[in-house]
Amino acid sequence: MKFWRHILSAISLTIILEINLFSQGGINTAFQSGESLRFKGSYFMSSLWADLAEVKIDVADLNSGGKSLYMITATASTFSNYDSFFKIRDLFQTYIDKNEVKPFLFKRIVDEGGYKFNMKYVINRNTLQAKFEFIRGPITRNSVIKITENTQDLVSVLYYVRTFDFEKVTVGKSISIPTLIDDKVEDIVITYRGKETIKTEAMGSVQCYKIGLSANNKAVVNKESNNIWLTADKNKVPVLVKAEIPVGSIQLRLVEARGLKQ
Amino acid sequence: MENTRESKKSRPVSFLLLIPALLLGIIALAMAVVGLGMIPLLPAAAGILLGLISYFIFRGSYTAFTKIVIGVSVVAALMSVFRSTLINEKVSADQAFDSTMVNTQLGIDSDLEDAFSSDSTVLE
Repeated sequence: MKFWRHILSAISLTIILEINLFSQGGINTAFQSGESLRFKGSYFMSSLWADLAEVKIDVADLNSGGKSLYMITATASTFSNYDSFFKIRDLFQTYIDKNEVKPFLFKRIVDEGGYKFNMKYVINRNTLQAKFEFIRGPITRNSVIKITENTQDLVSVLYYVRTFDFEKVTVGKSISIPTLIDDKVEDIVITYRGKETIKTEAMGSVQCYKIGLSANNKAVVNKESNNIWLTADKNKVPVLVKAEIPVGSIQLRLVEARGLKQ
Repeated sequence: MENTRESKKSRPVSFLLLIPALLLGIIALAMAVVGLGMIPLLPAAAGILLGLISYFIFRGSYTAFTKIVIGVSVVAALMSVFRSTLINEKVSADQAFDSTMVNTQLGIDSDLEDAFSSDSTVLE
């Protein structure tokens, strides 16, 4: 009887430890104000590719209401030769707490081939509610969404993951991060898949943490093949993102990194 | 006499290969002009393959036309490789987008004030 109790205690302790290791996420030692990452977005079909767009993510300081925040701005823009066919100018902006990497405000301004809309979440961590606003032409939709302590948005979730200490996580372990997607909270499941060496344009060959991403979303096709590679150092810079879509696959490759913390 | 007859018989079959080959070549060329990276290589390769099959199997029929068809696909393939490897794609300056980025700062303080407040919004 005692033997089984010990075994159960050991299993519980291991699970608690694993949860705690992932929960260390949120304390930022990975990025700072002034960091600027530039990616090339490519579309793949039968192992042939086309570079379609540039994605830029910049981190800046912002003080508001007595709080020190990071303003993270991500933009996606098609290259000039595609502009006359299908011009994309997307903007994602999140305002996160500097210490805990929790968002307070998220804005998304979309212009994809003339399809335009604006989206905003005002995230109140005292009341655990997010005010959602969606504007498309004359149509405005408002709602209030219940959130949890760890709820992230589409941009802050990347920076939140960068604060995890993957050295202490065993391969195959997963964690769910509640994330605001459209007008609801969906769980993004992060799975640590071990280390791999990735050849990059910006940093040469670097050892990386391979992180699996999955969500219960129609846009996600093969959950096993959606991965992000973060450098296996203190900065945990995202160098490569691969995702499968219903027609082919897309990739984001880091081409320039400036203002890194370490 | 026999050879001429065979050549005349094979002409429609050869034509059935050359028309799709030409279409694939034109599609590949159009894609390469637009700049779809290496993807135009797919239709170009198919166009070249069909052209070569027609050239070697049905020798003597539409020879000049076959060469033109293969040539279109080869040009498309070369253009695709050239553009992908030598031309550095750039994002064009966009004043409207720049002003959108500036405008996102408007009303930020009141939104953040709302986010920091302890007033509870009634859930709908």
